[in-house]
Amino acid sequence: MDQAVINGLAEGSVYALLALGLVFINRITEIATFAHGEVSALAAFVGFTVFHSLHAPFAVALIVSIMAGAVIGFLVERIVIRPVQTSGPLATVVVTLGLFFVIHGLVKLIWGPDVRPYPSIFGEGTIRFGETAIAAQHLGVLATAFVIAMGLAAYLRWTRTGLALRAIPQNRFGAALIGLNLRRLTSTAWIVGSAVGAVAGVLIAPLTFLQPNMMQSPIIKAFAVAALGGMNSLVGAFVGGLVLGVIENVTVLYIPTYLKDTIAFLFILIVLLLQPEGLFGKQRKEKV
Amino acid sequence: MNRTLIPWIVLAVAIALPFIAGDYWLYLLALAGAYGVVSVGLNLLTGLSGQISLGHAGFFAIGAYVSTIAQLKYNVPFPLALVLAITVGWLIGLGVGFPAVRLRGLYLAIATMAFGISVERGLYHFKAITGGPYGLTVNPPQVMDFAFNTPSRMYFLVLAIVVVTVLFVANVIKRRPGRMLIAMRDSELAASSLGVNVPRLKVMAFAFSASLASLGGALYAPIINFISVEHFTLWLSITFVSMIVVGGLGSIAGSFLGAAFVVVLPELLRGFGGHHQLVYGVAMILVFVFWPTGLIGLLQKSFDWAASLLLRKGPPAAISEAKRP
Repeated sequence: MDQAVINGLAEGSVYALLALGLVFINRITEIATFAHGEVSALAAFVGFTVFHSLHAPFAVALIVSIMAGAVIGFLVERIVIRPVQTSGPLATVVVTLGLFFVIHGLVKLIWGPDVRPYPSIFGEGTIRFGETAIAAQHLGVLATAFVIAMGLAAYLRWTRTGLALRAIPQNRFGAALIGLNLRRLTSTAWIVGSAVGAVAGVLIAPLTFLQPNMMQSPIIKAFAVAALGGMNSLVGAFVGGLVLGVIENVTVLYIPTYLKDTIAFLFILIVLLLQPEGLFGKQRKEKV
Repeated sequence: MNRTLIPWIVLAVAIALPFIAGDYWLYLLALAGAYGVVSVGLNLLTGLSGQISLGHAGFFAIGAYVSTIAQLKYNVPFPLALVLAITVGWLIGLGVGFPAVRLRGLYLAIATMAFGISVERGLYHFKAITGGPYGLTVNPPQVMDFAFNTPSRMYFLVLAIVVVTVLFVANVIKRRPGRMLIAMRDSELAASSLGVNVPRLKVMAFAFSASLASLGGALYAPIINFISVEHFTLWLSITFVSMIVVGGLGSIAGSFLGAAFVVVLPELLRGFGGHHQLVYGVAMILVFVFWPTGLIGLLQKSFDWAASLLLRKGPPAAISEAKRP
């Protein structure tokens, strides 16, 4: 049971990071990108290549991954998203789904469908806390996720750009009116969000192995968790991710493994039915 | 040239095809027909009423399994199995459609995605009935003593069902329900103030679309002879969306063009090593950014251009553009 909770927290922190990136982008741009998971997978692959082919130290590979995520985020926004930015939910859903296919196809084209082991950042050891032994891997993932989340919070709280980024979801029109450069900030949101996604990719790769499909299940859950927070709550996304991870890993003790995802989805369906804008979301009112 | 002639010409070509094309192409076309039925249903939902579903692979799977299991285990005759598949799809569509009343845009996409994946896992869980990953072998459908056991027979069966579906959907679109759907897509508030029962209409549209997806699934199973869990993943749901986008949103002919695109493209790209998903993705993005009317729009434009060349009436007028909603 303890072990399940710890595994759940580790897995959940990956969902949390992915959801964090999604929500971060969605708050500023009102676009939820289905390609988010593939972006982070691509970033992880780039880092892996640097590590494996150029024999760079792991820390360098990690930084390369994060930078790759940022660059991909920037390019995606500039090339694909900007033309459909204001075309409504159908356009953005379809275009980001198209991107999902494109990036997935690219990864398969470049790296092939093979499953590769990905070295753990935190080694293979275990750390003892009294009775329970915790894999350093899991603890590391959890700690990294926390550091990133705190960093993001600090960025939003104490920097000038952060202030601007907080102003936009409150009142887009007003933000533009007082001279905030919405285009630049949109670009920033994509860069930061995708870089956070890249961290998630690097963190999950040792757990699921490096393969083109590795992000499929996590990104769906990240979406679900983000939707619970109304796609707008950063805290909701993070806490929701951790909670979902724990719920999954505890229920798996009692039901077959492959039904794990279904439990999560049933939970989400029920929440969406009761609270269509998410648990932490604000009710939307329509003007006539 | 009279535009009303075009459907008849297409139908004549479709009937003549089996005498020209090889078995493999007939198989592909039958497959495109089955996907096209799903695509028409999805297009009604997305193109006309503006709702996004990422769970149509779920309804597709339900149709395929219901009709196959009914025939295999309970000896239900094929036509009845089709009706059963449509009915079950419709009922489940009603059930899943209720969230559609409350959810919009992205949230509906997520909820339906959750449904699709749950169906996939469900098929895996009940492997005693569905065969799970080992799948089920599907016998050729049989009506009385006539078995549709060759590609050309299967092709004609699919063609017949496609024609019936197209006539039905065309009527639905042309009459009241279609006009109500378009009114609702453009403004829910305005539509409801004009007396459209928006929640009811949404659920009905969803259920109708789901039943067409089930019908498509029930056709798909005998075409490929074998169904297993792996056929009905989230990828398929997204592929359905790419069909309607590439083919042309809100257009019946476009739905079939999109389905044909998705079926034929992997064949053309075989030397390229099966990276067709990459191409679907690029096509989806390109279409949405540069050519929102899709393949059907492209076809119409080139048709107008050719007609104007033939009749020497100067450049094509923008009539076809203006007529489109």
